[in-house]
Amino acid sequence: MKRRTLDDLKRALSRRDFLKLSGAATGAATMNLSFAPKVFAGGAGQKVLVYVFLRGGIDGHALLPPIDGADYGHLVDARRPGRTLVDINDSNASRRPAPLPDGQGLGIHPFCTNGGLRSIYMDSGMAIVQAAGHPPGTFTRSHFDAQEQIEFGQPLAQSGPGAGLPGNGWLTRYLMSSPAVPAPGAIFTAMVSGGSPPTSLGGWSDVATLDSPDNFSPNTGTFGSTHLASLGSLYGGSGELDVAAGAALDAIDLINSLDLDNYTPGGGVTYPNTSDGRKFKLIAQLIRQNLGIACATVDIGGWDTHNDQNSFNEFNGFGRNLRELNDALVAFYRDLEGAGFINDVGIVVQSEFGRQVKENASYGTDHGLGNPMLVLGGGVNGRQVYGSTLGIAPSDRIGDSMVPQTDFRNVLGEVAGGLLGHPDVDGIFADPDFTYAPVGFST
Amino acid sequence: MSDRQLGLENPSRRKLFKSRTQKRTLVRQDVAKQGGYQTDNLSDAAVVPPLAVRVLTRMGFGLRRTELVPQEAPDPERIFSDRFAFGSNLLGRDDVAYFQSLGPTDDLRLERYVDEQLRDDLPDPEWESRKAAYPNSFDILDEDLATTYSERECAGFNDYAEPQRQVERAAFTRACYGHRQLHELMVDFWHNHFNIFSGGDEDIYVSWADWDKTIIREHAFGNFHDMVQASAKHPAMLHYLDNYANEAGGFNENYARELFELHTLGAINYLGNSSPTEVPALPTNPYAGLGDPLLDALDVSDPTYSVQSEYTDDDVYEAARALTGWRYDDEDVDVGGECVDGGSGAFQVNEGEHDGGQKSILARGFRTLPADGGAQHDGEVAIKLAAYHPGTARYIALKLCQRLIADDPPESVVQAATDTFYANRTHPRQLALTLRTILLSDEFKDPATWGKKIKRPFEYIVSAMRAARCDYTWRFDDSDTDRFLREFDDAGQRLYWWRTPDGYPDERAVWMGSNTLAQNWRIIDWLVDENNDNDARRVMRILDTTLDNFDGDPTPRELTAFWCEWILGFTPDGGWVGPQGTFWNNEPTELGKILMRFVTQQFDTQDQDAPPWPADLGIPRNELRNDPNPNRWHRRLRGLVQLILWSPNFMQR
Repeated sequence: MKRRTLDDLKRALSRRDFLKLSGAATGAATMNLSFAPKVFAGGAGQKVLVYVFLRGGIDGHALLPPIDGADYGHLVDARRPGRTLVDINDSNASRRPAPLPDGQGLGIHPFCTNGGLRSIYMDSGMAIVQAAGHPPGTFTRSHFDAQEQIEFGQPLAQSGPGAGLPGNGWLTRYLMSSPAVPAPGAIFTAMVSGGSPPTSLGGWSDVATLDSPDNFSPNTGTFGSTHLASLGSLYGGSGELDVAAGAALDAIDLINSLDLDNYTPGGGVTYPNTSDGRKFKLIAQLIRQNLGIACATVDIGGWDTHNDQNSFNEFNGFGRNLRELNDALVAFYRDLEGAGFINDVGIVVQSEFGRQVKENASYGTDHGLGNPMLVLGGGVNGRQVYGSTLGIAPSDRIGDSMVPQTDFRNVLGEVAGGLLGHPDVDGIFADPDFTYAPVGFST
Repeated sequence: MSDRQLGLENPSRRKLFKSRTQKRTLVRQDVAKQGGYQTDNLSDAAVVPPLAVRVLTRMGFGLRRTELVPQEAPDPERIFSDRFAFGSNLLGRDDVAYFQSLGPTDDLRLERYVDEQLRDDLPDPEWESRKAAYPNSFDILDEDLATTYSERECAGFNDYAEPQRQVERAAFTRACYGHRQLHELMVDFWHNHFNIFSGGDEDIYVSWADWDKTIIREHAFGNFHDMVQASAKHPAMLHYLDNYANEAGGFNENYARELFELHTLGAINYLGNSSPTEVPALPTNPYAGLGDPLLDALDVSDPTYSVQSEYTDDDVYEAARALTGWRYDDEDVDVGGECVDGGSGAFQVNEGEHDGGQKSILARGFRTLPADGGAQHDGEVAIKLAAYHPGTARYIALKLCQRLIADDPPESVVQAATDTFYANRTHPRQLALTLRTILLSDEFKDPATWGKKIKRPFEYIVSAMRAARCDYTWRFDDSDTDRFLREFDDAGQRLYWWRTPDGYPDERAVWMGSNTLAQNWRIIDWLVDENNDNDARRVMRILDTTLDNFDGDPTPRELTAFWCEWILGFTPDGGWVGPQGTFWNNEPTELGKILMRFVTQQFDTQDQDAPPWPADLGIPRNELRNDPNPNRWHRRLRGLVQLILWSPNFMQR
């Protein structure tokens, strides 16, 4: 796509307005635009909730396998070595999980060691909540039901077209009732690093959805800026499409003004050149621009490993997915840590459900129930596995699945309330049968 | 002449385009915090079009124009069977005039249009001629599966991927030029309903042309049960949802789950937390009176046989057991260490891997299938139980109404469609009949249901090409096709490329994200610009169309009115733009206002305060073609067309 010339950029009216909006003193005329110096250095800055959804149901028993006690024996009985079994006593040393101190008998997959997620755990930056999921009476093994229910923050919501859905996502309600949102001069309060906005942000119109964004200037050359301005006028109303188009135009102007290719991550990290790496890097870049973003989401797919799970394969399946996720998430964390933002960031990682304890006949696993959730951030009381479990003895499973003991809403709620200071977590979930009870990972 | 003489304000370019960025950002944040929109319309600026345009937009890929045909008074003497002789003159040339010619009233026109579109023998001359013009790009489409599979499945990537790539190029070409517009829209619908990620494996790539032809196209207006049965036996589906690896002793539930959750009853009929014995029974046995031989032989159609109203996890597991042993011929033939034949892809069963125990499906715990029924029998019965269930009728009807009317369609038309679908479960044209119920309903005709959906990228881009007189065939060995497909991928709807089995979503919120909208706009920008100067290689023939339809020098007002009518298919009462002499800010429609402002903007880039071009002064024809400085009329013309294509009027359906 044709790049704007410097002259065109100077005449880009919206750019001047962005400077005014963000309250920045600088009026840099270069492409490498910095909206504002980091106004809230180290102190009470814009809180950011980063919601990472692993779509398909990540196999928690491969990510965080039991490494001692009775559960270790049950796992070994249920799975095949080299296939889905992650065994602390594996004859192949490269397949052994690493132990987690204060880990309630769990270890972590080898791909998360060696400077990976385990190092963040050891630095107290990551906490793990085991056996999390839907509350009793709402268990489901439908991806689409489970995902929607979690994203609406309402475990009993009925899925499917025209089924009378609640209408807005839990993150929408989080943002709506956050007194700090929108921050004065905010350009966007939420961003999606991907192609389409997720259900968790359903109903929140102030979202920048960005997927490998490129500059955009129409081919009308000299008329380019008036052309874009006319496009904006076409959608000058306040209907749903008008507002969405306005967001798109602001996002276009935003990307046109940033030089995303020249970015120096904090902490000396290098992001992996993978899809996950690019998605997380974009979030970090925009958080560090102080645009008022209070929430960022990212979806990572491919976890529905019914067939040939490939738990240790670097190039395929679960193994490759985990390697990519680990490397990208670690780079993201260390970037924000090095740049001084991590104390204002709360990252939560989850799937819609876990997978069954027993391996199936095609060397894969089928839909389960309880699963770990990961919480990362500067304010996290990490280096610990929280939450209780019934264990994975066959008699303690339901449908061959580990039973959730911690309501996922308590984890999400503690990220929102405990880590990021939201004043009314019960209001976010709005369920008379649910009262928020923190798990304990926020200091 | 100059507005100064009339004493009206003559805004400079700077003033004309004063930024509204700050306002729109604040409006957006206000709307977000309040959790709602002020208006029921998706866009304040959009105008409800007449029925002809609504029908052409919703029943296919929008109106096609290659010329503006004067509206004829329809001849009451003209009988319907004359349709093809007369219609082939207008359909695809001026779709609006064609629709108007179908009868004296809107209701009659709609009925004739629907019945014609539902015909299996509707001629499709443009697709046929383009297909014949580029045989290398479309030859695999008519090949049988066994030939394609054996020749290509174990060959290199470019060989086994070619069937899928041919289907992709054909899909765009057919959507853009085909006369069977409703069929093409339904083909897209069913590809998404039975979604398969086509890029995962050579077995899927190589069998894609057959999947498209024998499963999707063959059944789009046919019988739903037959479509499900056929889909379940196709190598693409067997592979994608792992049913080819589903074996006794540790069944793989993937296909069975999606069969229930996505293909037939739907998640709306799922009671995940229950045991089958707890699920309420249907008041009557839905399988009684169907006359299905397999179900009759099992006593499943006995009136006393109790059937669950919804499905549970246990039903999924039992169906998975019933479907064990289903396979396809993937046997390579090696000669001298090299594979010379990849197999036939034909459905077959492996009885040794079939779970022969008895099964209970949707039967509240009672036995459905006795032991040792055999793999093919058991699997087919499981599929029948799902496909013929009343919950399926409801789910499919809901999805079709969602596709054709609105994201939240009126319950009355959903119920009517459900009834038609259910009453015709064994009818060979069940889906055509269901579509007819929906498309001739009051709810479909009601202008109040219009505009609550937006076009997804596939519909949006193709409808823009149809409206802007495109003359381009997607094919191999052409850089425009390659470039187009790359750009289209960024819009997020690359064909047959959605990874999970639920297919591309059909709710508007998903397609209104900033990434999708920006990419849609970007693609239009590229298409309108592409090959603009070279007449022989044009993608969109904007210049030709303009010069063909004006004898002298068109004025900005005339150009604007012409292109709005051309692309949007109608002119509202009072016009898109006002009569001669109307100041731009007083034009009767928002769209007209903005277009006039753009087209007439000052032409002296050195002087930000120079006056605009007079709205009623002719633009020299040669300047439209040659685009000289200072006015750059060619660019303005392209900009004008783009704005109409970018407008909410064109986005809604």
